[in-house]
Amino acid sequence: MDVTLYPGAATNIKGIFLPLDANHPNLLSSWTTITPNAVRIAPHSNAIATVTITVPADAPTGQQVGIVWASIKTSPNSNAVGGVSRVGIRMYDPVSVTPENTPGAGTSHSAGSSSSLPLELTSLGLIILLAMFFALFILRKERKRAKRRRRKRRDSE
Amino acid sequence: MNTSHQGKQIFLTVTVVMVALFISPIAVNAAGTGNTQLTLTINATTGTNGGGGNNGYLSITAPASLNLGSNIAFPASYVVTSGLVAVTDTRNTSVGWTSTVIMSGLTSSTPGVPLIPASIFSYDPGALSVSGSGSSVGAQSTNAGILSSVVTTIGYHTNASWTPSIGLTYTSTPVDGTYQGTMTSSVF
Repeated sequence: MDVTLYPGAATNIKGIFLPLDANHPNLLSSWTTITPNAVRIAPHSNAIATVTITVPADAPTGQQVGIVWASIKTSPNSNAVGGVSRVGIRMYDPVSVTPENTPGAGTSHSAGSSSSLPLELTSLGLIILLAMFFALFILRKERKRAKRRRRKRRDSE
Repeated sequence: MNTSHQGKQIFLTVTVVMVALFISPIAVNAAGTGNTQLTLTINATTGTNGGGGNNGYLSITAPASLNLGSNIAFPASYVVTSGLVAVTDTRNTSVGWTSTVIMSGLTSSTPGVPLIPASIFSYDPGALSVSGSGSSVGAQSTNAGILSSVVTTIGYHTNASWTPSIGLTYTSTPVDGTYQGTMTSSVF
């Protein structure tokens, strides 16, 4: 069995992870190399390949997602279609701004983890802060109204 | 896909070699430098699911063959049943998996003959048979370029299989000739 190994781009929008076709590479797929990129494997045996992700020093901040594919393709004959079966391993590479990836230095990154949680926490914190300000605003307004009511009562007495 | 037809009839046959690929979990060494290396183990077999890596694996078995019918009068709209698709995930991760099917358009071997677009195809995974702790399995609506996705969100030691139906809708009559296409079955 001839197996082709290649990196592919993917998207991860609202938690839905989907591959992109070969015509749409992304940064992570362009940073990824697989050696060897094609192997011939006998049935019930295996092969080992090395995946290398090289993130450049000037990589933009943000999460990059991709897939490492192992793919086989049947040869089309005169009365059949060529079919492709493939298994992919997801890659998550959050590139964060650290002293290491300031210009001229290396870039901090890790595969298999996600940077979305800190972003979600930041958004949640902002929402809570806004809600607190709003509550404070309403509270002050209510106090002023109560004061006005008390004054009116006193004046009428 | 190879398609031949005479007059307003068409004969379509799809054959896909049944295959299972196994990939053990990737062990990633996160590094502060710009380089991360990991190893990938690919196990291969033919036939039904079985075997796999020592530390768990993800595999797919695609349909062995798919006959899209013969002696069809155009324009036509019909459904054919594919062979069994089976996914096995024995990795100890909570990531789950997604399986997608992508069908290309059909190109003629004769230069200048228009492509039969992939939009003629539709895909219904049908009932899903699931075992293991992967309880959140369901079919998703189609995405651009992807006929269908079958997804697990929790996938500890999941076995899932389904027998999809593939719909074809020809609104016009294709030009006589031989056509080729590709059906890509993926799991990730």
